[in-house]
Amino acid sequence: MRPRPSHYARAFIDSLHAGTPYESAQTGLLKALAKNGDAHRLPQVAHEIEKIETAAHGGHMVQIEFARTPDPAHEKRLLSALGDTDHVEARMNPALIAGTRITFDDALELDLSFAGKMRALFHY
Amino acid sequence: MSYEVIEKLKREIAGFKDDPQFHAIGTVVEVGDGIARISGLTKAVSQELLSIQTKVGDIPAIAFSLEEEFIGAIILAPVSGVRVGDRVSGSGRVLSIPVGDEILGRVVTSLGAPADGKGTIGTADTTKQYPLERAAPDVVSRESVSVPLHTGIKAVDAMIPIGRGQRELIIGDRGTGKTAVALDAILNQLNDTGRPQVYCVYVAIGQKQSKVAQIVRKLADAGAMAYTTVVSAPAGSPAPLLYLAPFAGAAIAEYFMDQGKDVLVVYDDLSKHADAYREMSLLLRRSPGREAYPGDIFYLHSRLLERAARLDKAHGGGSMTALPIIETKLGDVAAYIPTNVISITDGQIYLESSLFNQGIRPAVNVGLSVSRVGSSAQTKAMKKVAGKLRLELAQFRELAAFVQFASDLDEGTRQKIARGELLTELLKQPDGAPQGYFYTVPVLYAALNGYLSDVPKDELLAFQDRLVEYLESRHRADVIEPIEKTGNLDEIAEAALKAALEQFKKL
Repeated sequence: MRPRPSHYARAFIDSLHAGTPYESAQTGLLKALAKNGDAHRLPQVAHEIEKIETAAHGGHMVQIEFARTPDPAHEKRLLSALGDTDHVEARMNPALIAGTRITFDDALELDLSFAGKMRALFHY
Repeated sequence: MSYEVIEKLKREIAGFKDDPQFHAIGTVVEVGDGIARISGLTKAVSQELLSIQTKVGDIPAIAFSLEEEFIGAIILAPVSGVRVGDRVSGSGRVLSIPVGDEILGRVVTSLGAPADGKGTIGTADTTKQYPLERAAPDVVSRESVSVPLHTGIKAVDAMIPIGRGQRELIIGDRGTGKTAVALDAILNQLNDTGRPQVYCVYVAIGQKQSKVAQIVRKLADAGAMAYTTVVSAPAGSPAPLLYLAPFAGAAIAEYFMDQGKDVLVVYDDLSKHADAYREMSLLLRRSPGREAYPGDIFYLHSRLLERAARLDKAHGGGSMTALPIIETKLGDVAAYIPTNVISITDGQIYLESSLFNQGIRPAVNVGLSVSRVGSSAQTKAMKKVAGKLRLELAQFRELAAFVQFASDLDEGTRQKIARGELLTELLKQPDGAPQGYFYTVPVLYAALNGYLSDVPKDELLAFQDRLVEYLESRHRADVIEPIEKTGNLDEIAEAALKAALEQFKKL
């Protein structure tokens, strides 16, 4: 069976916990990815490592997407509502047309965007 | 048209509630060959309709394999712009298609979209959503098969009778006339008066577009499209659409059956359907079994064909008759898919290449063909002639090997062979010319009672046509109508038929 990004991430974290020095584990991971022809999946593996680490510290992976540059005060207020252990990633997504979309752990979303409302109107 | 669209939008906009809620989502992690693997969506149910948000718009998919970490989904779009990383949302409902009375006369895709260029089918007010996957009627709501479904094919109506609610397999090699038998059954529903109209659904699975177009033209020219719907998943469609086509046909048929109507649904053919399912299953990395088909291939066809039923009065009294078609390779009926479907259905019409090549068309092998429940639905008139016909043909088959030595045989054997040859010739029938059973009964009666013994073999079919024409023009009231109205050849009608045949012989 071909390893998935989550498998690489779990193996990397487990080897760190087993006492492998960070530099060696990093090199080992890159070599394993190259050997299996999965070098292009490095960003996904990194994302999975972040997910595992964040979950281990009791936090959530939170992605906040804005349709346009948000008002700094608004952004600050939004970020302050999240916990210290959460891994927050804010980014711009013009495809939302207007509003904000918040995704938790790649599994749950709160869509407050105009595009989301249009989708809800015509698809559900 | 635009007025209806605007009104629909107005209703949707007025009823829209801006109530943001958390939704479960997933992400495409792998895509190819019409299959997507999705992470997330942990609460998705099997067969749930999903929506993949791509750059080219939302693309529907169905959750097919629910695994520990991923969902294997089939993408329902011919050309998909799905990419890794695309967001996927669930809908909480299973795939369904819009059905309504307006679907008659139309050609639709596996998803219920029009495929004949005649515009949208019905409106939201006139159509209902019917799920493609639905549990078959239970035992309590079913009734025994008791009403005949005449195919217009003499050999079938006489010796392999089909009843409304039955599942009768049409099986044979490539080019043996399987589709022609099914189409004749559809065309004959124009002739089958005296019983409620049978609505028809023809499901073309993996066929050439040109063949589907020919079939639609043939049905339209005969006036049969008025009560027929064609579901088309042509050969160029992705495997998921081929897989869904028969289920769409069953959903359309169920809509009419639920209204207490009788429906005939033809699945042409389930061999290609099994191949499409095998393709999908292999792409979804399910374990291959015999002939690389997945383990649930039997369940695939059994759950489809179990939906054919005759409902009792309390459930509307409708019926769905299924005519699945299976293509064999070199006449091998013992292959995996043929044996599966043979065991599921209530009988089979076996078409043989050698008979077809001998010019016996329809090439029905009456020895290997069987109908397990249809005889209880056969009309009394047909039963009266069919019993003798079956016996004479069985005797002929036993003696057929001696045909070449006919001159060395005794008189009795020679007569039996001659009678068998006459009956075989009489059961020949061209494509697209189904014959009402009320004509078949007098013709077979004449043959079995020696009225055709002196007719040369090559003139038999012309003689038969003249006889039918004669009975229709001069004896409609005393011979044809009693059979047509009562389904019986009683003593009075039989005496009238005898007299008519005597008269005809003198002409």
